[in-house]
Amino acid sequence: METWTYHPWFGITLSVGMWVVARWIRRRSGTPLLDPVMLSAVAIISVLLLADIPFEAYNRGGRVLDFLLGPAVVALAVPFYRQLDKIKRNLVATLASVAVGSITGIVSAVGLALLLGGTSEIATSLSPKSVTTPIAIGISEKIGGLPSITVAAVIFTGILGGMFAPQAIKLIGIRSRFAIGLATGTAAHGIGTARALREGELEGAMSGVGMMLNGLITAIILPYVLPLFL
Amino acid sequence: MIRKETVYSFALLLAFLGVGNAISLGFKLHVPGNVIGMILLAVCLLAKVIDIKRVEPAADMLLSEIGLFFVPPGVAVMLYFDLIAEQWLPLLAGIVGSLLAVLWATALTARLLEKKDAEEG
Repeated sequence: METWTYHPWFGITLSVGMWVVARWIRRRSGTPLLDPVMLSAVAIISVLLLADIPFEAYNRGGRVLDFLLGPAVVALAVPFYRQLDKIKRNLVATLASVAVGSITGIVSAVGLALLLGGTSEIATSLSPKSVTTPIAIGISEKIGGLPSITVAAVIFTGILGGMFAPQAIKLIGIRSRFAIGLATGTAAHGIGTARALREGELEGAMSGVGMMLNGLITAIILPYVLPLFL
Repeated sequence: MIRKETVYSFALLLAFLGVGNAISLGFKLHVPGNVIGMILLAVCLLAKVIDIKRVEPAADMLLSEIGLFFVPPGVAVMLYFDLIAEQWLPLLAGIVGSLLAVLWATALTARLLEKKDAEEG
């Protein structure tokens, strides 16, 4: 029987409510470790498990929010345009850096998974893990991975990147806002970009560029790079 | 309070999303429609076909809360608990190791080439 929790109102209200609380906690705590996406997801999973509400019920509303990701990705053209001089001046640096990141991501994910006893299916599913979710699903299907595992890996990568990416880059002594933004988006797609936008508009724009370019480059080269390992 | 300009700019974003989706599906591309829509909007802004003020209101509103749209996929991880429990080690090592590798490789290349670029210019 479908209860009231199957109405889209439930998933939307739960998501927006937890998001508002998570954003408040993040601001109050002042620590970048409390990522609002992770906090909201953990809180909502806890609510669903404790109240025995199926994911399908929650996702009626979740899909409405998923849809807004479409126009939000289109909207990334705005910070991209605003930072155009920076992008144009560093066109070669931008393209070369993301290409290096794309190849590094495929080789390191597949290599590490296989070395530690992962099946070729798991390695294949992991290979597009730095790419934004909609592109990653398409790539995973095309190369014979499990799209569900790819989605989980993409989200986990994004949450980790959203939590630690700027600190991880500063750890090796890099302070360039251009490099931090570009690497965050290349490695941790939209969730990383959400974090990069909070660091600053330049970081956000470069992260959006990294996300977009890595999606395009990985989609094109992955089918040719992957057979070298499997 | 939502102003008329915000509604118009949201409609414009939806129009670009629609065209992007149509191109992606029509040409059977592996690039998703929202990315094609973003590229088309960027091109239109560059070519001055569309003034940035016409898209700014809704764009800024969506981007300031873009993380909210990743909450539902984040919650979907609960569907994969069993599979993740079976292959947790290769998954964890692949994700964490590769994340650091991509961050460092990309950032190092970016800083190296950015510096060179700045010295030349």
